[in-house]
Amino acid sequence: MDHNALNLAYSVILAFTFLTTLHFSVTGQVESPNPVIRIFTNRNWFYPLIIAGPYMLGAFYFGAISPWPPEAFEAARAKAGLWAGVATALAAATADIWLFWATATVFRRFAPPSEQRFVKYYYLANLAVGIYLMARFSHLIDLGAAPVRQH
Amino acid sequence: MDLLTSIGAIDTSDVEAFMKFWFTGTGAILGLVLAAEILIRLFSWIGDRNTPGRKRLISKDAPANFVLALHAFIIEGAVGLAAEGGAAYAGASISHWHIPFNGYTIIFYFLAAEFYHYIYHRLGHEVRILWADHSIHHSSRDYEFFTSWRLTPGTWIYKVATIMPIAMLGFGPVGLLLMAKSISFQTFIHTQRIGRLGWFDQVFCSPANHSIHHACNARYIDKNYGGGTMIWDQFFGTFILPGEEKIKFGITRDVGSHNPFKIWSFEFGHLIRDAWHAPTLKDKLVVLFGRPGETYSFKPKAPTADDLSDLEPGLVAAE
Repeated sequence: MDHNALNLAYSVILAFTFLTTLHFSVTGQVESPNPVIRIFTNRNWFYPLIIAGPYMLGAFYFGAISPWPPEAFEAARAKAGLWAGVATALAAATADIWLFWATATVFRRFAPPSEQRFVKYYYLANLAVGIYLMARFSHLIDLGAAPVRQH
Repeated sequence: MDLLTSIGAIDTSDVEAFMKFWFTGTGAILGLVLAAEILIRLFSWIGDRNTPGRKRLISKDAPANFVLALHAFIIEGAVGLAAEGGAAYAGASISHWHIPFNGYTIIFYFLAAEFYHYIYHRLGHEVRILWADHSIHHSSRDYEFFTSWRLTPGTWIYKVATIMPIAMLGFGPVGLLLMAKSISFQTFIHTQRIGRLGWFDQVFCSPANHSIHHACNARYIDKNYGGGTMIWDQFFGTFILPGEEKIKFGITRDVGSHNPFKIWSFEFGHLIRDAWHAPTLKDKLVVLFGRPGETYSFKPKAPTADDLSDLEPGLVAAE
């Protein structure tokens, strides 16, 4: 299998992961009651995140991939073709959603009743962490790591 | 190096970049999840300030867990890592085979590292002298992130004994150790916040199936040894999912203390006492190397009438 076909396969898988993440972030539900939407948003589409989630964070940290999806797309497309760009941008966008919002939704989902009144703080904390990390990855706050690579 | 060329690549440098990113990212997520856990507890604790009987901010076991983590890190740093690495290197050096560490073979390295974890972990549970060490990790009545830091001083000894034969199969020490260290991220699964996760629980190590591993209910003992996956548990028949029974965390013989030294020495004390009092040399050896719960167990004799007659009448009456 050549890299272009492989990248197309990754793009399809990551598109579902992105859609499931988006749906979960907005509705707080993994699977929609709507059967059509349920095809595209299934809990199993989260599993690529085991590999892609930490990988993207590490790549952001070392400046190998930009956390800004259009920039990630351009860099990967220039190096490895259109589908590499699509997959990388989808992975970056999905990682961004988790950094800003979706993680708090997981905590909300599993929070016991006694903690429900603190849910708004989960989102505030998630947003604060996301903004901090984005600033960090973009070197608005510099703790000494390499800058985002210019492709 | 972008995501796709990394995953699709086959040469070592790409695998190294992939591992570097993945481990860094996982470490960052671990840090964030721990920070979130602490923040949530803090919110609840402050919010409940006027509620009678509010939950503690940190469990009674947590300080002991931190002390035990610190002592284990020192021992691991001083001798454990060097011994484990040395054993892996020695095993690979005398092997007739060499399996390269690259994009094609990384899955075999992962499975070998999982097998390594399964075996030394199972030894830690099923050989009593090793259980005296490993029981420290299991002795908490809590099951939370900080429980995973209740580390033990001697794990490196049975790691050394296990990694060498696996390295002799041809696995390079760097790849094998790198994969084996992914177990460090197990902290994630020590939580009761996350419930059942469907088929994920059958394949990967998860909060639900690992909570079973920390239970002392009879049907849950010595189950779910896996570090990252449940593959070897499924293969060897030690896999089980939580049932309806309420999970009781800890070990069958409760330490009953939050003192780290007592926790540390608890099972070693019982081991030495049982070995000392075992009637024959064979019994003593079985105490050391037999299965916990199935070896000679010393029971102090009830005092006889002669013993009691030596005591003053008032004391006997008090008895």
